Amino acid sequence: MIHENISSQKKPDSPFSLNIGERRKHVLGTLQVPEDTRITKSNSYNVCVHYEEDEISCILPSVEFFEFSNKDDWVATWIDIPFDSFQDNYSEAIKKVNDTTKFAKNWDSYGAERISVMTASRAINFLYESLRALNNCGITLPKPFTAPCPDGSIQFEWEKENKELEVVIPHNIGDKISFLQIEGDDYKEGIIDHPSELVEYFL
Amino acid sequence: MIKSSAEKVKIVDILDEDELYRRIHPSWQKNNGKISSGAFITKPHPVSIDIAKLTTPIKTLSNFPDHWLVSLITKIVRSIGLDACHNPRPENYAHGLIKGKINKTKARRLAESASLVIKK
Repeated sequence: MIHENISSQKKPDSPFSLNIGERRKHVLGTLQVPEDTRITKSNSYNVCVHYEEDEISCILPSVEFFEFSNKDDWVATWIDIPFDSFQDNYSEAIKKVNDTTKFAKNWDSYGAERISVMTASRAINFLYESLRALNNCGITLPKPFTAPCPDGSIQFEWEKENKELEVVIPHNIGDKISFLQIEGDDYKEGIIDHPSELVEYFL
Repeated sequence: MIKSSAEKVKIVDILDEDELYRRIHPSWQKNNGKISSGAFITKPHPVSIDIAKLTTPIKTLSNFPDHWLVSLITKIVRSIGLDACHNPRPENYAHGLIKGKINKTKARRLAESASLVIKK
């Protein structure tokens, strides 16, 4: 609804950290501002904020009024309505992703790796970007089932009519997001370069 | 003479009809009673299982009150290009491994073929 108070055109690299008051915060991903601001034409919101190294306190800063500031006086303040929609659709998934980051190593009793905050951030960004792409195409998906994987990755699963899609967000930042599409007896595996490609699988 | 551990522990053959147990963490349990294929995405490590004929469901689930227990049939595991072997550990003689490269499709097929033994 309102985007304002972008006081600098400086865009931080990913990931970066900043300080607000006495609490140290980290912002994962590239922080960009909406196209109706004066600063940039980007409309990405790849932002994840957490207050401590191992705990995410807030993944979606635009649900409420937030302000960021670092030593370079970089400030961004906004309220973003699409995130509300995102929260409604995926709040369960977001909560589960957050919860998985609290699992200790060996959480599955077979030696599973921890789910890192970085992987969680990437997973939630994927959800947001895919939801936006689906909304643009008028496609509605049921809420995903969310599963942590023993190798430290996170899997989302959708079922719609006779189609199913499993998407794995890998723990290694250098690895690509992969998918398995199931339609009847047909199984198709592949790589997802951008979350918007999710649209193809449910058209 | 000191014997190697391999000499001391008897390794059993896994037959096609043998059942393999795997504990299912609560986060893999779906409302419809199915399990997520995420349970089998363990790379680079093989999937750990218990050989059913060497243990009991209760023993496999001991200390894990929130887990479900599923069983896989070795013949099905082999039919999708994987194999099972006995891999006893000091604390668990029934321990085994599902060997072979498990891609997404194979993980999914393992999950589909899993039968619920104990649901908490």
